[in-house]
Amino acid sequence: MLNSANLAQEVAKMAKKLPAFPTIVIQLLDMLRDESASLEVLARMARNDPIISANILAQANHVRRIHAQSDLTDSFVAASIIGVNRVRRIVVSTGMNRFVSSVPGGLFLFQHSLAVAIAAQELAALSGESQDLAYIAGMLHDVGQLGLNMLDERAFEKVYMDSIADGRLLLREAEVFGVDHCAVGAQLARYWNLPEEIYSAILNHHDEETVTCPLQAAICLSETIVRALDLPASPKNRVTLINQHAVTELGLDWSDPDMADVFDRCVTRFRLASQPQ
Amino acid sequence: MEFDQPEPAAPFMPETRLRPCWVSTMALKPDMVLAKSVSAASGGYATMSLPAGATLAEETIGQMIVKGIECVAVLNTEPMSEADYALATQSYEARLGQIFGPERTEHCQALLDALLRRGPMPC
Repeated sequence: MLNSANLAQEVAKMAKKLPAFPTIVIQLLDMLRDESASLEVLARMARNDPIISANILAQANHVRRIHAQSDLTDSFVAASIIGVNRVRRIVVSTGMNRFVSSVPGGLFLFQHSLAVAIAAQELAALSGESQDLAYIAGMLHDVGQLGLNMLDERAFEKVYMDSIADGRLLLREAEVFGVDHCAVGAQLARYWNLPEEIYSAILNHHDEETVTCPLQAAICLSETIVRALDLPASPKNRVTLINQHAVTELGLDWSDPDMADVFDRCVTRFRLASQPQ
Repeated sequence: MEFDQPEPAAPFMPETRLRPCWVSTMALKPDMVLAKSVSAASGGYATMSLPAGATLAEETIGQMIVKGIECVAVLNTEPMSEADYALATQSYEARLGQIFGPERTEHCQALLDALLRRGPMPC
């Protein structure tokens, strides 16, 4: 059983068994601290990764085909067509997809994380927070589920299925494993030296009572929004509680016309982003 | 009589079937017409500002993509028929009923009301 005394040590062991956390995501996080980091640096970094490079080319060529233009083969030219922000999203989502795809249930976890990342970015844009950090935190928020799945795949699956009806996932995880996926995910974030805000957002993304920082508020509400919008569609999607402190922290009003636009944008972007390349 | 009817609950979206379509900038095509204004900024400076009603040209679409604009609202030129939208609404509301369940807190109800007023995606 995991507990607060052995969590750091056990998670360090767990992290070594997990697929390698994409170095490129860590590099990207470092780059986000440097506002002057250019598209050229980012494209050069991505060029060393054939899958990321292929995704950049695929998106640029998708645009070029709409306009009846020939395909590109140079990923730097492709990156300049789709822009620095979209290249960042490709780096993060491709890195995470590769990271989670090797475990059972990885596809759903990836799609759920993608939906939360998109919603978090939309909420960050609305409330003036860092959209890049929100996107990355959204992609990583459930990474603790990978860890629990690795500890005991069958037990995790049972906990997950039993919790669909009553939403008591965290309690069951704690009963079976000693701690829940939020604690494991946060400890993994610490192991990978991710920023403190991401650690806090992962640790408290199911906390419906408190707000630790705007990023945590955005992730917490994004989890609620994507379930409400049924993204990705799943019988597991339920909304039983909302962190009202997070709503206040981000200054949101559900009845505001801007929120209706946020909902539509989340659905539109998720539909496109979840299509196979 | 039409003028005896109560005010709609959501005056900003009186007919959700006809509301604008959100389209990813990657899927935009020339001659689409913006239903909402679009702006982009970098380092605190505005780098793009297009008003609602602007007709999109290929060059503008390319600029929007490079500037990181993810999706924009365009006029809904081929709205679903009333009958199809009524069916979509029925299914959408039933699904929301399952997701939110029968016992709702006040805060959950507020979110549910907003989603019901919004209606299903029209495009």
